[in-house]
Amino acid sequence: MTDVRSYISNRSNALAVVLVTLVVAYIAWKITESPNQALQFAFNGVSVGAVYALVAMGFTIVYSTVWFFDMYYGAAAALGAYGVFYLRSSETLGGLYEVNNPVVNGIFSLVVVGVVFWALHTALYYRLRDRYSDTVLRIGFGVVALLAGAYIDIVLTRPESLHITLGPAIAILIAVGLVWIGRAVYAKFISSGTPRALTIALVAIGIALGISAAIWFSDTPGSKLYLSWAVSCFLAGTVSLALYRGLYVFMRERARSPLVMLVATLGILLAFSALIVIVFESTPRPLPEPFGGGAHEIGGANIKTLNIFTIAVAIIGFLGLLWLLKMTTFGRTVRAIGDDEEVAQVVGINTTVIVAMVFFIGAVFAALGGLLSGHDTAIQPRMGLLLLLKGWIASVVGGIGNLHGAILGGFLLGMLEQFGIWDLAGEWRDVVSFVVLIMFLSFWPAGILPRK
Amino acid sequence: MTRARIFWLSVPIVLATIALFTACGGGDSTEQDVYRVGVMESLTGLGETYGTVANNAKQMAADEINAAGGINGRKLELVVEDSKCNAQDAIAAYHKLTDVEDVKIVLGPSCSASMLGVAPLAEKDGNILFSGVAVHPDIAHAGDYIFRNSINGEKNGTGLGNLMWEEGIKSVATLSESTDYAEGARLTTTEQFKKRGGEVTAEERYPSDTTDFRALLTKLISSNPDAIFIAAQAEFSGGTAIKQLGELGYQGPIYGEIVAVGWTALEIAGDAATGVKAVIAVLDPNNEKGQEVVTKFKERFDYITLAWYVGSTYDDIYITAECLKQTGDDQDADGFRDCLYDLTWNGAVGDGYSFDEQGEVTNLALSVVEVLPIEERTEDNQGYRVLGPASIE
Repeated sequence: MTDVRSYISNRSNALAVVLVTLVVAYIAWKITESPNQALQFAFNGVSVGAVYALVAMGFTIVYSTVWFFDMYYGAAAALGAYGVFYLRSSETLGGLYEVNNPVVNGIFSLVVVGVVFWALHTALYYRLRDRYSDTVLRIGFGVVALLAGAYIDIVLTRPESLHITLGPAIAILIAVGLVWIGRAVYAKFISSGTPRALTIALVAIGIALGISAAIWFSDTPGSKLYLSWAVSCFLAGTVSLALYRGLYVFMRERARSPLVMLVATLGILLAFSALIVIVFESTPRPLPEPFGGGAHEIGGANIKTLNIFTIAVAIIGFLGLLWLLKMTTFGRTVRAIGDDEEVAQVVGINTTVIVAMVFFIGAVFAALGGLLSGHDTAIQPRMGLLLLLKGWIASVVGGIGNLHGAILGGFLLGMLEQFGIWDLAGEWRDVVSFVVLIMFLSFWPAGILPRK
Repeated sequence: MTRARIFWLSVPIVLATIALFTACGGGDSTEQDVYRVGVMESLTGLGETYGTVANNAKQMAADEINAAGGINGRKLELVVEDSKCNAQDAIAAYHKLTDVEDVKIVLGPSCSASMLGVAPLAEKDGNILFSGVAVHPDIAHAGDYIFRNSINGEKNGTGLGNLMWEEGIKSVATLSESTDYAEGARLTTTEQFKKRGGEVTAEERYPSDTTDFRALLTKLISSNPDAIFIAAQAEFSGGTAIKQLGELGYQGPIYGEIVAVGWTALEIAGDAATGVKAVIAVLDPNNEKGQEVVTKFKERFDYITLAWYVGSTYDDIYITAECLKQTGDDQDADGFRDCLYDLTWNGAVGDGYSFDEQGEVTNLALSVVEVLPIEERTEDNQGYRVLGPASIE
């Protein structure tokens, strides 16, 4: 048995060497034949690859924690892109396809109400239950959650004044961030236990900064577009979190097979795609142009500012995730859950909370990938499924469950897709990616960088 | 089962039967008051921009006719179905109109794929199919009951092939959407272009849901053509392809068919569309009726694209009204057909046009247009200027 295995693995190793040599030789030949086109293909490849990398990284962090294939993830990408369209449809194509649907706003607000209630309950219940009764706490959390929901509803109903409606949120975020950093610094260099005066001062500075940021935003053209990115990512992440906490947790308890989860989440993806068709119709739509839509010529080939930005986002996202997973307590618990969820539970990790946060982060990455790809080309209801598949192929190529593999696989897949159709008709692009997938699944299922 | 139960169960059945009969009776009585005509346009789907405009134009014409007292004292009622710019949905819409709604005269559909899908059914059933938008050359041979006052795409392609050749273009690379209309436009254009001596350096096709054209366009540019020709079914894809050509740094001439110079396409393409040339049907500025229709249309609906089709679909309704006046029966498809064959019409898209033995419109001309720089595009000029008549021989 061992002999057979080592034989197969040797044979696939040999195959890998032959194939890589062939591909490199082919590409080298093509480059010498027409260097300009090769450079343009390379630029197209990294631009598309950056989106694949973003999607693959988000997919990887979720998949390597819960080990089931969450297909909602594709819907999160589509939600990210359509969220931007939804909030900015009055500026797109002269407002011809303006959408603002009170029912849609209401649904998202309800999801936010649920998630905020859960978050407050999780974060504060055990700290406050000695001081207040359960009823008081529940009513208190409920009121705050309802207020948050109402706030989101206002934000969604008046997308033309995002810079105003988001002002308070920016102020709160900056205040919270400052307090958090201030406390960490104080604890590290001075002593544990921050004085109350410092906290209050930091909150005040935070709110002041927030207000000035809001004022600055209202003066900056295009700021509403970037704010809509934030809202869009937040909503996609919130829905993902709500799905996990409200649905997947119970489904996983009952049905332990990943296959059941796969089918269930496929249903969710299809439902979201159908909803998108109902609200936005099935034809592709453009998104407004970010960064003035300029292109740069480098060595006879062109690349857009947006593409460079996307590549930067992918790399920063990668470094951020790496830091999160390797350097923080949160990351350590995530990796512990990925290694063995039950043991993690036994040693006292609140797995539900950690996994819910992982779902949020994963969906934010998907949404970012979706909206950046939407800005790059256009959006259409099937984009979620396509991006999900491409993200998945990228992580299979790179090595499933490995963050380095995800970013590598993303960029590699983007390049392969472009160079693969050099001598084929353009319709073959998706065929090329799926052939790559089949090759990897049959011969190198662990990918280029296998998870240790 | 007790008697009481049987009694209570039978109540809804009896009520339903009564309701059904009254409904049918009601239908009979309204048929005396109105002429009912089916309308199929691509209200959603690839052709939504021009399909919606066409439907609005028809509605506007019908409202005018009804406000002026109707036809033979009867009102004209349009029964609208969405043909969604593909054959499958168009056939479903056609069956709904003819089987459920019982109409014999169907005005539409917008897209060639829809028209080619439905035409054999209409021909077999002996129902009129009369489009103001579909242009595929094969529609000419679709049958005796199939008419259109949109101009055969063959003329368009010939005009484009000639235009490119006469402007000194020796080689062209083409990008076309994989639909009946766009493929037809590409074929007719490149055939004429090759006939004149031109060469096609590269051909790429894309499925309708494509949003990223860069790989295809990079290949087209790398084949070093004198010009690039784009044939799109949807204004979205046409506009996006032109925009991405600009982003790839392409500076050479671009030629297109009518969809690529629609208002939405130009809005998406932005500055990259400046200088794009196309052979399209344009409303004659000296034709008062055409200008009046466009003015009225803009007043009533916010949006207009491909104004000529507002004229052609508006004319469809008035032509229908004229023929219904003659036949006096909206169920008489044969009479309606004979009326169309004998008709000579002065309408919004031209004076003195008629239908030949294939149901094709005659006596209408095509023009060459050039897209204006972004700051000169207005709703009045629709973003382009007319360079002159196209040579379609």
